[in-house]
Amino acid sequence: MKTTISTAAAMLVMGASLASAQQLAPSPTLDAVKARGHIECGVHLGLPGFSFADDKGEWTGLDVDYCKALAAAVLGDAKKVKFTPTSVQQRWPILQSGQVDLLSRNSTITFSRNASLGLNFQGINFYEGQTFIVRKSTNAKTAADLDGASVCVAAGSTEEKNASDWFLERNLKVTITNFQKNDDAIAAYDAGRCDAYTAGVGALAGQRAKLKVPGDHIILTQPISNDPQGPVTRWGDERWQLIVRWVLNGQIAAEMLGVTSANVDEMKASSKNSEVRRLLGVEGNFGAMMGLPNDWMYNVVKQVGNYGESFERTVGMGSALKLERGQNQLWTKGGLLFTPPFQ
Amino acid sequence: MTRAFALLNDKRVRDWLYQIALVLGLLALTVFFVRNASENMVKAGIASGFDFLWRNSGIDVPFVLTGYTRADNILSLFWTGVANTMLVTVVAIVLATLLGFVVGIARLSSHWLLSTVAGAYIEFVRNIPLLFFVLFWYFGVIAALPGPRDSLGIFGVAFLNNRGLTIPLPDAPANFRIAAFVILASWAAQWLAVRWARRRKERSGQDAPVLAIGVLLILVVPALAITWASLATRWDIPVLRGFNYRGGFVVIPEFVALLAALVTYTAGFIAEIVRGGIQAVPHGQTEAASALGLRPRRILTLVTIPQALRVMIPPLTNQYLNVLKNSSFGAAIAYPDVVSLFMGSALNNTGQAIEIIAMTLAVYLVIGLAVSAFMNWYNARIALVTR
Amino acid sequence: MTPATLPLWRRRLFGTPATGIVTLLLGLLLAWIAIPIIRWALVDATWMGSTREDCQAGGACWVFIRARFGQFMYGLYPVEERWRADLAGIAFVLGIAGVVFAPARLRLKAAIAMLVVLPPLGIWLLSGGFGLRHVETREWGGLMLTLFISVYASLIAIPLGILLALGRQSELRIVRLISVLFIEFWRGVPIIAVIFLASLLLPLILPGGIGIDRLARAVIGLGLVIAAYMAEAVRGGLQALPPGQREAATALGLTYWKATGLVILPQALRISLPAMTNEFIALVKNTTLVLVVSILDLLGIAQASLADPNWVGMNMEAYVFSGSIYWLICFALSRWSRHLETLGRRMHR
Repeated sequence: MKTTISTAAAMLVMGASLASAQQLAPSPTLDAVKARGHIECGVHLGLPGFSFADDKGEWTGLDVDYCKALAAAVLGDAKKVKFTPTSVQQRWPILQSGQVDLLSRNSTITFSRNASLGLNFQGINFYEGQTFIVRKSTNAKTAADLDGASVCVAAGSTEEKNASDWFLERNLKVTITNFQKNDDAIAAYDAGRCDAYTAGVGALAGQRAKLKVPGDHIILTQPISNDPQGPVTRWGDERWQLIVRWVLNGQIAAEMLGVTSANVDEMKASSKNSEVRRLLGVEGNFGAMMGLPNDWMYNVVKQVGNYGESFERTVGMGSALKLERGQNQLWTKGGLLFTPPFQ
Repeated sequence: MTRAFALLNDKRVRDWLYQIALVLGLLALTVFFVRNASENMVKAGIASGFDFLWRNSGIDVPFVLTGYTRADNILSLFWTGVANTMLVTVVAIVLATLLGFVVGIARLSSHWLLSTVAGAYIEFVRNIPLLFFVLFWYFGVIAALPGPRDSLGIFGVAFLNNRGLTIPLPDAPANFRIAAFVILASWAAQWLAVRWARRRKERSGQDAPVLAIGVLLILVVPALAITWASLATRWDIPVLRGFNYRGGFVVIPEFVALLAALVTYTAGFIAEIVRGGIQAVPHGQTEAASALGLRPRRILTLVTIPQALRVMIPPLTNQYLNVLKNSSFGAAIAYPDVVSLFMGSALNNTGQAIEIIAMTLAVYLVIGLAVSAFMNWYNARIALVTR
Repeated sequence: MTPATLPLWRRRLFGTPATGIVTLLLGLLLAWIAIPIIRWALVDATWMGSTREDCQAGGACWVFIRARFGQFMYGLYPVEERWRADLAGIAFVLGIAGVVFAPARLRLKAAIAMLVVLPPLGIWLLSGGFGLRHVETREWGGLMLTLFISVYASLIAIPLGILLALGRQSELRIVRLISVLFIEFWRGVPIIAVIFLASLLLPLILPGGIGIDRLARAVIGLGLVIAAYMAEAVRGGLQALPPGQREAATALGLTYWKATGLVILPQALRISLPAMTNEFIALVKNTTLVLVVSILDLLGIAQASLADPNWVGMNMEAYVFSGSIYWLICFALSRWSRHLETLGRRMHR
């Protein structure tokens, strides 16, 4: 009996080591990150709630939080991440040319970006819907009321095409003016150049604060599109893509399993739920399979929090944006957030 | 062996060796860069080639001269951007030259205040980055104009507001093509007439009624042609409906702001060129002219400016090319020029940075070469012929 | 105004009816432009306070500039390390002053010494290492960055420009062709596109894994363009020299490089110095374009500060303040260039 157990144990160990040897494909990005000592994360130039630098240069926001979580998972320290602000024009070339390890920059996942730009989207951290902000004096209630209006938008964004498609389909005539940066478009809208500025619901909630008199403007509630957004990586380096994908999944799973930054130590010590145990590295060697320390998700939850905590702090009720969870609620609670199981 | 060294001592041989080494070095560097680029691009999964030009663009452009719509391909988008770049460049060059001459001559005026104000303008304009002008004019123009509901009507057919200047558009543009042809033909006739008159004067000393012919051909015939074309068509007159005027053609405020910025900025530089050119004309020339009994204004137009022009042409050419290059500042205020449309929107949708940047640079190089060639030709024509 | 000059002024401004009308019209124009500006910037302006709410007078809110002054000067450079930027600036000013005021005999040696010592010293002070805390270039910004880019881009541009100008005058046909192509290419394209190009293409054309700092890419891009313009400025000086100079130097047995270095360049550079200063002014103005690649120079930091929800609507204040700084720098330089020009003319006489 004893020998059988030890043989089985030995076989398990061997199997595990074999498995880990097989899993660990080379990952130049991960090696570079470790050698450098920090992650290079491409973010938005300045979008309150998502990625915004205050006057001290401290970055906050949902997209920024994700990069911090990644740093916690990979390097064990959420502070070991540096942010490169990118404009709409720069973002793809900067990622493609390897100047950043990933983009977390409220960029919408689309077919053509995935298929022809050499980009991979690693999951969804925000379900955005495009809408418009208009002056209250225009009395517009829905996007359909904007017939004949001028609309300011950031050039090359999905919003530019969405809006154009949407109005064309409904035979409405709008004039779309493309600016190089979101801030330029907002400034022009505020100056009276346009009747409306278009962006996602979440983005607008944050950018509204940049208007001179925010109270004079209203955000139309009905979105005209679905814009799922999430972290983006380059093609190639499968293991890095795996890490980026599963850190996001891990944050969602942590919320699903009730693991928070407050109770993570307790959960790690005493949880009987085996998925929690695998997530926090008590059971199995999920971290090692990706070439990370086994307490990768423990560090993420401990230092950054689960998805829900991050959401509430940056764009939810605990922030200036006061966004409802809506589609960004867990699927068990009526939203769309879902993660494959940690098994 | 010694012969080889002897060869090295020959200056011509050495020079050729240097040059061959230089060429080989540059070639090696180019090959190195191109190989790296193609390797990096394959690794990153970036598509290459010019196929994307025939893809559907789907980008709306608010200011179109070429008949482009969003259903056209990206190549048409490119040409639309080029046309917009050309338009603002050409108009800005004309206006900046006029303003520059005025300021430059005012700078040399004997009127103390006038010359001081002109000098202050020049010093102010030349020492501030153009980007400030572009932003200032843009937000200034928008702030100064009323909203659509309070538009300034111009004879009830054109309307000015912060969405731009809406002007009526003819239903039958063919008439205007005919009119344009007539105008060009009459200008060509004027040119021939002047040449004929000059030759006749050289031969026989007789004056021809140049002024009358000139007024007829330069002004009256074109005016008649345009009047005919305008009356022979129905007009799409803009009407206020909902948010803004419908119909007609809209000259967008971005165009006006970029134009104003380019003109006010460039005029400062042209004024200095004009001043330098006029001062370069030897004083004896004006003295001789006034000794001949010419009035001051005739001296300026007959003696000073023609000679000053010769000095001014090379720096003026540079300024004109600067206007072309500076028109790319329109990208900062959403003027749909080639940089904004092609290097902005199209690059974002296709991601093919190398091809797009190369095409954009080529636009500037080709136009720039054409302008230099023309100015060189003109320069050679008016150059001092020494006998 | 003393009584003696009064009639002179009256004659100047109102000597003839035409003069008088011009004076009146111009006076009205000036008043129309200047009075609102003075009211906004001085009379109705708010100088004291700490938040936007303190600005109720309706004029300029200079409080905003006070609150953000450090950023306008240094960007996000760590506050406790800013003395390093100041020190670098002082070192450069002293270095240049040393060269200008050195006795003519030692001037060349002083200039070479400064060229060898100052640039590495500046980079060390700003970025750190060797005992100083490392400050990444992404934290640099404001006026400091504008000056840094201008100085270091011209450190690339001036030597390269001189080489190109010599290449363009060279009797070697291929060298001449390559120089002309290089100069005309960079002079023919908009700088906005070049900066974009440098920031996108440099990482692509180098072997994978070699990264160049974002700021360095912008500096290289600007340096290449300005080199082409500098080359044209130097060419003017070279062409102004009588051919006899080189012929005499060659007759004395000097090699090409010796003749160039000892005879041609010292004279040519003195003639082209005003033109080169003008190119430097153009460079300072063009540094504003680095904001297309999200580098926050003086104008960039002004724009970035506008996005702060606590200070919405400060566009005029930010632009007027940063614009005045550019103007002061460029105006001072252009005066200096004109001074050099008159100096040169006097020497020729």
